Amino acid sequence: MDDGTGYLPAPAELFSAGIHTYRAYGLTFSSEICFPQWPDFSVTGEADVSIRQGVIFGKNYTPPDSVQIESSPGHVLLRGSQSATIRVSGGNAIIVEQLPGGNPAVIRQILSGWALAGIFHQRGMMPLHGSVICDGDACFVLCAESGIGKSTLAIAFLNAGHTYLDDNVALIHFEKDIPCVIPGIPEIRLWEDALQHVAFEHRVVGRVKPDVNKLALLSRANFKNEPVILKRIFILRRTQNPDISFVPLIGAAKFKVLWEHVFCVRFMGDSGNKLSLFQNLKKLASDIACFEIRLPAELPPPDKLREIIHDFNIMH
Amino acid sequence: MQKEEKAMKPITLDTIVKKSEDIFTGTIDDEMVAMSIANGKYYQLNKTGSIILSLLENPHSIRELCETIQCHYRVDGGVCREDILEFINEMATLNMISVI
Repeated sequence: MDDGTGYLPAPAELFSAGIHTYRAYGLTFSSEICFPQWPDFSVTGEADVSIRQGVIFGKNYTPPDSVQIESSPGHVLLRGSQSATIRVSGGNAIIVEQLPGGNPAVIRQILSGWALAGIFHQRGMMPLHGSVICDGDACFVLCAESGIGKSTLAIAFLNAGHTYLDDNVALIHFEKDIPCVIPGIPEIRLWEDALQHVAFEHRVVGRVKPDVNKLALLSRANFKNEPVILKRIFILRRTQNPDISFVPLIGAAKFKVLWEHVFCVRFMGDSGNKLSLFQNLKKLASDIACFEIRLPAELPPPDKLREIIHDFNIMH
Repeated sequence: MQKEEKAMKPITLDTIVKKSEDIFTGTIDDEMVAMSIANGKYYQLNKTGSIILSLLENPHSIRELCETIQCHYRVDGGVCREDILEFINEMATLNMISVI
């Protein structure tokens, strides 16, 4: 539904009448909350994950001054200060209690990120924090610390005609012993001033948060909605080096880097299945080539960096 | 008094130790990674450390560990015992092993 502004409006109310059903990250969802970016899917029978409105603390609850996260095996509770209280449990249930005045856009973002991370970890899945770009018959994952411009680089790839599986989470799954990435949500988040560089078909969903100039974009045309074989993982790191270099990571150093890029692992505490995650990461580290891309302090233009990575990916 | 109860007994050659239950290990490119699931920390072990931690999947005394290591490496018995005691004490401090 276009409102004429090019923006794809999300419902003003958090909870809407009826149930919305989606499929992402290999899971089916039934939700009392509408997520305009999530891929619609007709779910027959019970969905893998339900997202429901519910009472967690009730009317007399006083939220904390800052966000708190509590975890126990199979459960994780996010106590927001202004938005909502959210409980994720059993790898299949998300209960949302909106706080008075809680912003629906903020709550949707929390659910799309942190709450899904709870589901992944409780199910023993392997999510890495990174953009997944398809190149030929395979894909690669771009991981980076905040501020390096991972999404801007992803946009350069999409401008050049590549497709993507997700811009935030690489959900890796072994299919008959071959590592694959499962498609997630066709959403890209970028700073408002970077919107002028987007040359592919997209719709702006809205701001990620009301007071932040970061936009959520929906791009279904470039979204590949099927699992793709994972070829390698790139870790972008800013250095004092004058040039760009590709450094292969091996052994314990590779495991360390992969562990550090597991999506939201620090917040999950005892909630997730760490043994399963450890074993999956160990296997991934053994099976997949991983390169650190050492970038100079002054970052190259995104399209130049895209060319360098693409050429490296073809030649190695 | 409470402190005395919690203090770890000195580890001697006859102390029997075992890898802690929450330590996971794996080998990647011939390097062993040990990870504490309790605190999320990971440790890289050298070849000797890897052999010792592998042995400690089952309970062993320090004396038995020394004998096994001496089968792998030509090393003076006294030096071997001293090095292993130091390594085991360090692992105990990190809660990577438990005393039986």
